[in-house]
Amino acid sequence: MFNIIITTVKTLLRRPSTWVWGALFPIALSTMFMFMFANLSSDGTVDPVPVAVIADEAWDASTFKDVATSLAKESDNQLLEIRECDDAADANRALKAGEVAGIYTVDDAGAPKLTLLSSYDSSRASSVLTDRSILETVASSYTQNAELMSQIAQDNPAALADPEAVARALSLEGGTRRVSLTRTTPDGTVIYYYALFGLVAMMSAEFAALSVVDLQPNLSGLGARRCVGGLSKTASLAGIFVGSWLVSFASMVIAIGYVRLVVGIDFGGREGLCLVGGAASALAATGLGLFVGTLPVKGGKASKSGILTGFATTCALFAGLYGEPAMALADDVARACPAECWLNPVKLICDMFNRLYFFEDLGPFVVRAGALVLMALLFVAAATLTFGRSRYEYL
Amino acid sequence: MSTFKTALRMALAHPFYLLIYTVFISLMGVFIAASVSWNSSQLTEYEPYDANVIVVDRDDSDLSHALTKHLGSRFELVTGVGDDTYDLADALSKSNSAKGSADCVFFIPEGFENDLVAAARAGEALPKLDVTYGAGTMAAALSSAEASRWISLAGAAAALEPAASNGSVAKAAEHAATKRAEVEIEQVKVDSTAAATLESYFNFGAYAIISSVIVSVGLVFSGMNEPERVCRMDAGPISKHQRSLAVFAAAAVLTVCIWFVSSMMGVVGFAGAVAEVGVGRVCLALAATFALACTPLAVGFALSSLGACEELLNGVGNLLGMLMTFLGGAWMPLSLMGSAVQTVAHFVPTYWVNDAIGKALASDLTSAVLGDIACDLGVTALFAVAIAAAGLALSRTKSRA
Repeated sequence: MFNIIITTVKTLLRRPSTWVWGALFPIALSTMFMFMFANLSSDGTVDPVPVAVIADEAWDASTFKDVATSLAKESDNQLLEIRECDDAADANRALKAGEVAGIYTVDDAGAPKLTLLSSYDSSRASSVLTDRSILETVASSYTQNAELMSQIAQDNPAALADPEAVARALSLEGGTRRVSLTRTTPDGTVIYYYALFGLVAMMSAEFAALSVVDLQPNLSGLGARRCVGGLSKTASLAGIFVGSWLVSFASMVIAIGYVRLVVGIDFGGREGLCLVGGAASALAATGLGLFVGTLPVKGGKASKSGILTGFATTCALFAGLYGEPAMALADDVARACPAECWLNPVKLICDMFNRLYFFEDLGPFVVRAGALVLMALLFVAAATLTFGRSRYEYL
Repeated sequence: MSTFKTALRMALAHPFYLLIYTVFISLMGVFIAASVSWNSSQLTEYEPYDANVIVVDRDDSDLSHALTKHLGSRFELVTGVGDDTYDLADALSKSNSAKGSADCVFFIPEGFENDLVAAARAGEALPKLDVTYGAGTMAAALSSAEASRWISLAGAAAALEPAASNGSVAKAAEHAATKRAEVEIEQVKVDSTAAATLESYFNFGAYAIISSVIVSVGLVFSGMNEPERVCRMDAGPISKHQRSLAVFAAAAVLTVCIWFVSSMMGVVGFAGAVAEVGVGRVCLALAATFALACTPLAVGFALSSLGACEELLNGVGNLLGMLMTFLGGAWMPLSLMGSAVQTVAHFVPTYWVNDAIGKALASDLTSAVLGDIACDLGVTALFAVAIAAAGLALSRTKSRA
């Protein structure tokens, strides 16, 4: 069997497609993601929202100016980035050019007003709408204080008798303190790399499938020669399984190594466990490849390769690999049908790495890695049954 | 004619490639474009961003209830996740298997109401609310700002009316927090959602066209270049020139068929959008995708000239499809990427095709715009010519060797 393992590895390494799917593909796609997310990766810090203000006399005299200016002070909690404009035309130009998210103007009574554009770039909808909402919340602070004062003036006018007490009360600042539930700062972009690991693993299923074709006498000359050899089908299949898994695992190591060392995605000191995850992913992929390889499908290698490519790319779609809209679609599908997270191997691999990255507790990672191993066992059992029962009467 | 038929049969002998690369990937494009259209909208009146917020209320007081109610009125309050750290972290990581998906979690600690009222009346700093941010930092920052504002209002109400009950303080804050600043919406002309949907489909559909044409056409050229087959054909009565023409015709027919199927899936899938945008504009966009289809045809020819086998064609076709659509801005708008990527994008045909599609579907079709589109298509065709010329040179060198 050892010879079969060595032969399988050698045969696979001599195939150009092994290098394309196993090395070139993860490197190219990771590099693509690296550029794609270069400006989007979140390190958990708040980006100040750019806002234009019309710096007229009303603005200078308004108490809202103090509120806005205090929120624009450089600090970890800086919420606004104020751009003072001389007139409305200048502010409008900046708004329409997308340089600012909104315009603050203050009327003669000192009440702020926010101006927003009716349209926005739909590809950046969440970021644009969040920025606008932050501006509205800040602007509302003035009107809310005024409303509170008028309410108290109606109910209990004596409460407002002391201007100092009123000023002190209004200067009380509520706040929040950030705490963490996860071991790393959540970053919306890392999930794409995990989905990529899932796709790389599933693409490597082709290694096992093509190796099985080389074992079938009706599909390849090598298979015919092997058929007349003395080795049992189960031993041959086992050898192919181990050999293909080694190559598949090597492909995962390339993907994980490249993402860690070149792209710079931090696995939080769990690189070793990442490789364990990679090994489990490769196991599931090899099991799937073995199963598809033994299926009695017309068309030989091309059909089996086609089935696996179609399966992997479809699974990757529902794991959200193909950009933001695909991720939103994957979220909707998974929420409507939670079982999909366990049945879609690309999604399962993505979730496994996601949990390893976020959670201190290794339980969720182990459960998903176990699910992948179980998936592999089921596929191998099915492949062994199918292959064991195959007969070649008309070679 | 028999050579032509044989070449076509070679491609049809691999139905899975055609099915997966043409139909499946185009179908993926339909899904993706459909979800893009749901996201595209225009403001007629201001509405707060719908952040997803979880509130873990450990105080169970009038103030904590009022704060939770206020956050629920401004944002999407996610319930049913519970108080378990794992479930909460799962919701924050936005994993699809979580009980909910949240941008942040607020923890209202036990004794929050009493501490807040006491601190406000003593003129001391108000207690802070613990919050955990998820991946959407800005959405979490927005929710935090809203919660902070509410706490400030409650603190002010408690300080100004020392005799008021906690329930009255909560009501005063609740009432004041509903008062919002005036927001004016500056109306501007926007592109039609239908145009954005179709543009998104055609941009992503390029993946189907590129991968499918490279693989199918590559298979035909490679198959017809196999030495044993060439020897047999050389013994036949058909001249080499006629054979080459027949193979090229078969490859061209395949390309047209793939382009047609992929395009029609978009046109049929978004028939409403086509009607809204106008048939003429869509035909112009289709002309651009057809110009693009010439590039993978040339790539398939060049690869087969290099002696690429089926497995290599499959890998390279898929990879080039992904890379070219990425650099064309189908996965994410190029404006969001770095300047290096934007510069490199100029060297792939998808960039020019997508530019032409965008102009064809959304711009006013003035003579200047039509000139730009023609220029884009010309550049795209030049890519195909350059690659085909390289393939031809390789093929000639190989045959001489």
